[in-house]
Amino acid sequence: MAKLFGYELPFKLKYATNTVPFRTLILALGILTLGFGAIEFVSVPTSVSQIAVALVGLSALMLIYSQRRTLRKKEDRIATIEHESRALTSAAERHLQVCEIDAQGRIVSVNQNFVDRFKYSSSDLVGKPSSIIYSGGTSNGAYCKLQSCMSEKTPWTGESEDVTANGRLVCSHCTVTPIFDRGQCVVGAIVVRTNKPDELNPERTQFLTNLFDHLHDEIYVYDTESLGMVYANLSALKASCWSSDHLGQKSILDADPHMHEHLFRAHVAPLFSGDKDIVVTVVERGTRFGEISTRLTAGDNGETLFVSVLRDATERKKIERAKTDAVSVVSHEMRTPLTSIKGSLRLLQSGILGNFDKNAKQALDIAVRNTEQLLLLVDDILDLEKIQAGKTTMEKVPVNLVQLIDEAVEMNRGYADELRVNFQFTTLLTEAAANVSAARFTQVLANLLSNAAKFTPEGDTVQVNLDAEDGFWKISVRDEGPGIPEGAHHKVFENFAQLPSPDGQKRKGTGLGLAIAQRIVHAHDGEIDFVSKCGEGTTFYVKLPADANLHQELAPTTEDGLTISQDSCRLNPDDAKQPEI
Amino acid sequence: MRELRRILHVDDDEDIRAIGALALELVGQFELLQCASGKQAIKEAQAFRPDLLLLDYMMPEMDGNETLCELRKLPNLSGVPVVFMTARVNEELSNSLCRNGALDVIAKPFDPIVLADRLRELWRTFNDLESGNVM
Repeated sequence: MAKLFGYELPFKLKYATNTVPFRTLILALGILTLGFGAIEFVSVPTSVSQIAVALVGLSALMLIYSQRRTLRKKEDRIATIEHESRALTSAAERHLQVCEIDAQGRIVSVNQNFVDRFKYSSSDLVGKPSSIIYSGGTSNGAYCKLQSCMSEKTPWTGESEDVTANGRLVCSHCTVTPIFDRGQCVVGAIVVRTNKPDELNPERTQFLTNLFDHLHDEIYVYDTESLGMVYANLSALKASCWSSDHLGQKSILDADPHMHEHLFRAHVAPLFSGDKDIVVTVVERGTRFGEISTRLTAGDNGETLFVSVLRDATERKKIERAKTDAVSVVSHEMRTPLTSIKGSLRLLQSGILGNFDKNAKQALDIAVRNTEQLLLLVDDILDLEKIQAGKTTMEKVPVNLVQLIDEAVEMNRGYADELRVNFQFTTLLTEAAANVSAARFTQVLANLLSNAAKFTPEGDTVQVNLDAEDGFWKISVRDEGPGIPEGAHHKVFENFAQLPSPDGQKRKGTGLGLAIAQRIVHAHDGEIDFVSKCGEGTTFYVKLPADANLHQELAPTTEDGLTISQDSCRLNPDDAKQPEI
Repeated sequence: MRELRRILHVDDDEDIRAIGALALELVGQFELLQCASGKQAIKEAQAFRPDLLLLDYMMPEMDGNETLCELRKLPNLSGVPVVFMTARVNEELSNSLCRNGALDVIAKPFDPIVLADRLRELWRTFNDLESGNVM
């Protein structure tokens, strides 16, 4: 019995005609669709209607067969597409830096390549505006393209200048593809990048190489750990007698036989501590000088490298030396005639050479005063030049600041008397040890005291204090003057600063005293500053590092050495405290 | 202690010599020999027999130090105390000269009214050192 899909056919198909072609056709269709069970068709005649039903069934069976074949083909195609898609995703993961952003431009996800290249962790990026990876942020051209690409719903491909987490600029080939929802609204974008290494642009690389090789400056790029050379331009190769073929075997220490690694490491330490972006030193090469600037940079693979640029500083040093010498010579040559002028005037003023009438004496006093002023100016210019040229002796020894200030106050009391003002030194301390050059620090105090005296009204007092504050000694000199206008505060420590006074009076001075004081204080690792308010006077203060260990090294002081001046007082010496160091 | 009386003053600047003469002869009442150069001083010092040398440090040809070296070679001048004067104020130079036996280094411009007193004070210090009267 013939069956179809497990169902027994309700009748045996018998053909009704005896025509051979028809019988053959039915037989073929029967065998094709029902198997050889249909052979029974040929032996049992039946009605026309039964044959028609059989034909309809056959047609239905053929349709089902055809559908099944089409479906199988589609399934095969889908499987192929799935494999291709997986391969494509894998290739993209390996090759591209992929970043998905939402409609607001925030980063939704990034792949590992992206993380590796941009040096951020994935969690650092997700939720952040994608502008952070564009050089220049939202003003970056590629970022603007990303925005317009999302608003215009069209993909964009171009170049993007980006910046990594460590600040390195990188260039990328970039493609932005918007993502749409079912309603064709943009819900985000996929941004893929590939590196745009220099080797892809050999002309540019060659141009840069030529440019560096034509520089007179020597450029050295080397590893921060091993100090092994990575790059040297032609000038550097020539100066070091190196061949570019063997550069990889060289260390920066080979460039200068006088360079010691521990000194070099100490020199560049501020780059790592973050105290400085660039460190500079001057080296001598026979009769020539070179100024070396060193900074950190990132290599192609993100490694940290040193870049040192050596610039010939011989001419500049010559000019600096000539300038210093000229100032020194001119100042010296001015002192010689000033010696004669001042000497003559002093002899005349003393009355030894005869007496003068009132008008002549007044003219003489003016000449003496202005000679003194000129001498002060010459001395200050010489001092400033020497400090700036590093020629000033700053032999630092443990000094008791209580004694030093007391002596400075006494030394300048004559000047205060001339101006009819008082000096009063007050401190709770009996001993305040600091490592200073006594001569230079006395100069600082003299400048502050004379400055304060000049601005203090007759009969008033300049208050000098010494306190301990956060591991520092704080010396303050307060005047009762008109104060410094706020607009002039930035000029106070400038050379030749002649500050306007709120009371309109002009005070005599070289305008160099505070500039010199600042440089000396800085050379002692100290700070100098001031607070001032118009009409309420000015307080200059100097802070010097205190060192508890220095107390034992202080030179023994005598009773006389610690004598406090008549106008000075020390409040309750028994209560004197030492700073908390 | 013997009194300071005779001073040899060497300075190449004529005006400063004139001021020096007023300061030392008129104000200080010293016997003074002034020379315009180290060479002249070497020629004339022996006959003058000074108690103290007052030498300018910066001089052409022979500076103050070289002049002192030559003067020290002369009989009776090897132990004469010396005071330098200089317009080039330099702590290092001052220390160096004092280490080499100078009593003091006086900075120019000097005060002609107090110069004589200063030299007498230095003379006393010198004599105290020589006689071992220093505490």
